[in-house]
Amino acid sequence: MKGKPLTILLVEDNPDHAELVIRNMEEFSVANTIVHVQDGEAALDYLLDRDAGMHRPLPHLVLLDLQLPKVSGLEVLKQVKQDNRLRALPVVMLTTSAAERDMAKAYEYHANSYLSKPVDFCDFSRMLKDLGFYWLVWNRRPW
Amino acid sequence: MTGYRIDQLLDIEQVRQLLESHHRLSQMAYGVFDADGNEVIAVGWQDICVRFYRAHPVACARCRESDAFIKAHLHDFEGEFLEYRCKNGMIDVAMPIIIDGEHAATFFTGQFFYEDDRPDLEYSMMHGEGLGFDLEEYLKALELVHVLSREHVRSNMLFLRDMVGVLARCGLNNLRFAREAEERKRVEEELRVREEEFRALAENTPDTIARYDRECSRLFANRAFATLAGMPEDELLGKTPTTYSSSPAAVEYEARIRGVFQSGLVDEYEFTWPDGDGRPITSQVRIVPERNREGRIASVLCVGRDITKWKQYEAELLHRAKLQERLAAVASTVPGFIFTIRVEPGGRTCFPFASNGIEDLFGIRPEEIRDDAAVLRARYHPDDLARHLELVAESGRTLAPFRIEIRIKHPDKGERWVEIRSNPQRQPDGATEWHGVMIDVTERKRMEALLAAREQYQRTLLDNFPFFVWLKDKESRLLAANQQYARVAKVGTTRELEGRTDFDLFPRDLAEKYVADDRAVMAGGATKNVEEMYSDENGELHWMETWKSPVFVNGQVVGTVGCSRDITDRKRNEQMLLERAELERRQSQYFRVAPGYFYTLVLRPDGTLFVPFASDGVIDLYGLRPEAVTKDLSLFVSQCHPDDVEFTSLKMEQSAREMSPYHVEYRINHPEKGERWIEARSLPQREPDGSILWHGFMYDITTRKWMEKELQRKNSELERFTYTVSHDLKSPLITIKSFSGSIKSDLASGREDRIETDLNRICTAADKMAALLDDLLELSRVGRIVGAPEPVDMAALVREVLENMEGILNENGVQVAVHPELPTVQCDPQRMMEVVQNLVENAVKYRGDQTEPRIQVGLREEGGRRVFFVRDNGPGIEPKYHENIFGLFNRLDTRIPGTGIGLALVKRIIEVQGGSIWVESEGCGGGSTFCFTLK
Repeated sequence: MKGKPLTILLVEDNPDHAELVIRNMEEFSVANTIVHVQDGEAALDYLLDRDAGMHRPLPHLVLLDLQLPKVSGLEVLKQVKQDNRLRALPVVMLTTSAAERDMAKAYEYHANSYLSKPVDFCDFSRMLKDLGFYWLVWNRRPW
Repeated sequence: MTGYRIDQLLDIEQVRQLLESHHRLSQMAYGVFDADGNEVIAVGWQDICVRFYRAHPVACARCRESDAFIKAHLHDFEGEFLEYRCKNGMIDVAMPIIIDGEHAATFFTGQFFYEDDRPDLEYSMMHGEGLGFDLEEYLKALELVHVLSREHVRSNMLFLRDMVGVLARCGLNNLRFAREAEERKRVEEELRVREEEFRALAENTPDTIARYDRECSRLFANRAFATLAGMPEDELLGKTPTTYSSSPAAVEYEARIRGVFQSGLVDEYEFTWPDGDGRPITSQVRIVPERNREGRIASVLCVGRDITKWKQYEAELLHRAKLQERLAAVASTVPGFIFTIRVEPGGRTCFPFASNGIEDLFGIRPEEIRDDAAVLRARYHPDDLARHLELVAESGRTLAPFRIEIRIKHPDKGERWVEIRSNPQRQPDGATEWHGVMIDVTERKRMEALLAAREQYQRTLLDNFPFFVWLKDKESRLLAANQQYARVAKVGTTRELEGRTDFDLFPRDLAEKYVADDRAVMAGGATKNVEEMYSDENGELHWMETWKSPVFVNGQVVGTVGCSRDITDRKRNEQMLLERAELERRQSQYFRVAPGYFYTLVLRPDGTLFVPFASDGVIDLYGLRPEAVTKDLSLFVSQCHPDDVEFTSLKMEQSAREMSPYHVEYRINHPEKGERWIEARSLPQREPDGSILWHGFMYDITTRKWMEKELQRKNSELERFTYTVSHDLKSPLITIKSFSGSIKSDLASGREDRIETDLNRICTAADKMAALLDDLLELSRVGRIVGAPEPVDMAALVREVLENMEGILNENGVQVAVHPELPTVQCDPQRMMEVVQNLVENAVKYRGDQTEPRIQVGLREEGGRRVFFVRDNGPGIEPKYHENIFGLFNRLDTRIPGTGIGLALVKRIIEVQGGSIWVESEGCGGGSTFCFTLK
């Protein structure tokens, strides 16, 4: 492990689902910090540093749900990928939707990955473990 | 002349013997020569002459000279007899014997010397030597020559001459007598033969012959007479002509016989009398007087001849002559002339005869060509002359009649056509003569040419007539037919059709029918017109229309004429027209019932548009009469929505350019109905004149458009619904399953600290699912089940809702104000209660940080509409969320429990009731006002 602390931004309106992600991520200890926001607006606020003066560090991975209050997940994705500073940020869509339309849209907006939440608990755990290792351990990034 | 020879008058032998005897007495040689100088008797001929002179060529020639002298001078000597010293020196004496004045013979003596004129020996020897004789023998013969005295010779000569003369005269008389007897016998025989002949003639001649004496008593009647009289010949003798009959003919006959006795002149007359059968017989009678030796008329001979037939011939001839006369008169009026051409073996050609008509025909007088035909031939057209000459030559060879038509040049009349007909006859001299006639046929030729032209016209007309045309005789044989007919009958030329019948040309059943038709037409006497169908050899069906008419000549049917044409195309057209009329009738029905407007639009080459046809549908569709459209398109065009004018005309241009279907949907301003959507579809077709023509159909799709929009909305709603349902149902499912799994794992690992919270999460998720399912059920019910509208007192309804919600309102300290005069409206009261309850509930739920929440249920008038509203003093909703909040499962704040169905449900109820719903809010704590209207 590198000394640098790794941060995941989790954008999830469903508190149960957020708890599941956090619980699994903690269990595998792939991230130092999981920042959880409940809607798209909050996510953008965080990422675009719109809460004036917070100067929060950029996360190393964004887990983004699609159905979000106020600002939808796609809108968030779009704005991230349009932003020069944020564009390189890996954004993995994590959603209940398995609709092709959603997938197509997500990739159109340059989502780095699209994951459909498995119903089974073991699958969910396995997926999150793999996800964590892939993006935070194996995946190389310049920052 | 007696015509007798001396040997006929004398008994030569007797006279010779007499002279022999006399020779013995007188020593003289004697000879008798006939008139021609031939020796008849020679007695006492001297050896000197026989053996020497006559046997020696030179001496004999002298003898003949002497003979010729004597013969020449026999009738012109002087004295009693001709005395002559022959060239051999001998004395010859000759005297003619004249009988009946004619020289019948010559009496001759000679071969002696007179005593006083005896030649000397020397001369004789020289003479004999000169001739080369055996001198001794010669002199011996010379010694034997008698020497006589002149007196002796004279007396003997005269005696003998007279004696021979008497003898000859006796002979002559005898001869004459015998000859007369013979003649009489011959005449008698001839007379007998003649009489025989006469009798045969009289008996066998068809002429009647009778002889009468002075008393008119019949002396003789031949068989013909008896036959004519009807009596035996003997019974007629001794009777007068009037013995048996007192008819005028008999009386005249007798009178005329008596007349001849008196006049002595031959009488000849004709009379007519009835024969035994009463037929008139004409007889010609000749009464000839017969005189006896004294010159008195002893009897008359009546020869009668039946000339009845001859009379008839005469009448016939007379008639013929008249006929000829008339013919000549007629001939003179004929534009031509009669001729005889003569062609001689040498080639000379002339006209021995030409009637005067030639002057008119050729301008030539008959005399001009009598000896040479050249003048006439010069008038012949050069192109026809050779042909003519050829024909003449041919006719001359074969002796067959010839006929030719040639052109001639008349000095005044110019070119004329002449027909020549003539028959050749070979003449005994080898020439050939044609008797013939030449006629001016110019007019006929002109007519013929006209006729030929007319016939050609008719033939051409027939052949080019688009019908089958034919002429048939009474037995249905073809007399003529045109080319069309020949083609359908499958023969090469129309000529081949002549004389053929339908049986030769068509299948038997058809032929029988055609012939039966012919008979019916001839029997009926009127034109028959039939349309009939037949199938040709290829099995193709043909419709034929046929006319048949009888042909009458002088009121008698002589045949039929017919014409026929293939009317298959016409029949098809008729059928097509019928079908088209039916189609049009149906079309007009369709036009009437179809919910739209049918039209034909024409784009002319000059770019102008024109509608030749507009169905009544345009009345409903555009509010225009069809006439208004067909008359002037501008009003129609002006009704197009301004925003759609450009694109529709572009589409039209494209259709015209690419000949592609025109299909547009556009808006119009209907004078009564306002904005309407129209769909137009049409297919272009190019016309020969360069125009483009569209047949099209337009119909009102306003409803469809609305439905489409509605459907689109519903579809997206449904999509969102299913999407959201799957999401919102899956979410709690994941929670339930995952936390169940987590609990299991915790239980296994003995970790119990979070089991309770996890179980709560599971329960909450399950509740949420249940609520969600309830709301979905409700939502679907709202869409499907709508109670009948009824008058609802809104004030009472709101009061009831608030009473139901009293618990929650009091719990949260909410104050509710209700409009005092809420009206009664037409609606489903149950649904209306749900609307009010949802809106009030939301106002409570989303009151935010408001410590004094207030809710106002009110009513306001706006644009003639009654607007109900529910107002709160909560945080309000930013305008960007105003649409979203009515969407299914959309929630602004997920922290507040809810399914996200409430507002969607309200919206649906209001819309089902025919009203609308919206939110008015500025957000930022300014509160929200949910407004709705009802129909």
